[in-house]
Amino acid sequence: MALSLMLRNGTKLRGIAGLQKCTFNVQKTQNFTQFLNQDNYKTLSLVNKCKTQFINVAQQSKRNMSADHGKLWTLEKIVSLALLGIVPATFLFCNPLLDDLFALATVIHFHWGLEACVIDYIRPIIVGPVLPKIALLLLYVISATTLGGLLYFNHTQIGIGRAFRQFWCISE
Amino acid sequence: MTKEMQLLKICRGSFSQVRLLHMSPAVNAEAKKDSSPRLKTFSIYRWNPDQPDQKPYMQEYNVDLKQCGPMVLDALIKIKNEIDPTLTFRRSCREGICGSCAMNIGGVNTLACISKIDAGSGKATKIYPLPHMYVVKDLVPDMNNFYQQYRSIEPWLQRKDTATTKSGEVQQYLQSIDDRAKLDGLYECILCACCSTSCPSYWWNGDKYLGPAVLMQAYRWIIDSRDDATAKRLDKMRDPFSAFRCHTIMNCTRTCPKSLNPGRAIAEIKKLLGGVASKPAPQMNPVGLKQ
Repeated sequence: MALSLMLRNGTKLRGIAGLQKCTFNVQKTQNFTQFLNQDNYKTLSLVNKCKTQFINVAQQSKRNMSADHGKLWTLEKIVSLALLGIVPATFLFCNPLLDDLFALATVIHFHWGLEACVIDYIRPIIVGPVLPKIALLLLYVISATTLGGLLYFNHTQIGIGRAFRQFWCISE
Repeated sequence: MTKEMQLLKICRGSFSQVRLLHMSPAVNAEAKKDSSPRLKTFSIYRWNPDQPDQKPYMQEYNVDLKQCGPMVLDALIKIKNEIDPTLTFRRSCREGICGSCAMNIGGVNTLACISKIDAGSGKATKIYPLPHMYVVKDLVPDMNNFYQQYRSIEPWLQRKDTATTKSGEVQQYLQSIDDRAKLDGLYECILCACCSTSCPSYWWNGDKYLGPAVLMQAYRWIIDSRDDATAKRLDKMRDPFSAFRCHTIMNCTRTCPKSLNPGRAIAEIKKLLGGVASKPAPQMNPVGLKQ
């Protein structure tokens, strides 16, 4: 968890500088579109200026974002596949090791999914440069406390597997 | 012999007359119904950059389907010619090979020239420009970002050597039939941008995510057995945005007017980037002819 969090974080930190540039970049294209419609030589030259700027900015932001995501993707897929085995195993053999593994795998799986949602829907283009960082930070806090809470439950209480088994004992 | 031929000619004429006679009641009935026009309403997105204060609006046009070709593009051309010459849209080949007339028709990104007019339901057909693109005018989207992204993948054959012999003569590169078959379903893309503009990931992150159309073309060059630059091409899209923003929503494959599968191509790219798969060695040495 910690390792992958750091992996993710590293990417983000390097990418943050690029994100603001990308906001600017899209606004430029919007202006560019409007310029396109005027038959004016001056605006056309302005368009060309914007275009070159656009390309440079795009390249720069790409370089800033150029962390290898391939390994993390493989890890994500391995965790997804492993969950297929871990989830039933936790309920079948209630032992602390499997409980911890269940907590770790589900939390990291949820975290990756929600992180994609945060990046896709809380974008600097829409909500400004500050809110996305706060949202991402909040997500890390939620994921970390969830994991902490589940691990605490596993080691001081009955554990996830046994707790779920108790659902079938409610009527008794 | 000549008499027989003459007889045959005479018979053929009479047979066709009989057939026409047989069909004539139906034709006459159709002609009687013809007097009333078969009207179809098209509700089309309008926005004029010369009137920036006016917000985009939907304008309705009624077209008589009996006086119009079968495809949506026919109707659009008819509207532009006969009803409203200010209606603006791109079109060129009118047979689904140029990709100019890509637009959102009835909620689906498709080519106007190969999508049939829905005459069955009495409802209006809504026509919008490609979704989440900046609009230049009416149905014309700004494709600059899309083309810029296409340029960024360097869509041409790249090799370390040159295909010339010692005498300076240009040689062809060898490719086996199986290796060539890998390009089927990839090279047919006409870059109409229907898939990219149907992808939510491309809507939200179109500035950094390359989008299905461009990624499929990237894969077309990555998997080409004659291309040397595979590692360079892959390294350019290792970041979290270029290719990995694809969440396998598969809108791209569903909407493609050429029935291609960009979703699969992106999955193959991800496998190559993740180290799960690797590009197979070429079955024939591409420069085998030189040796």
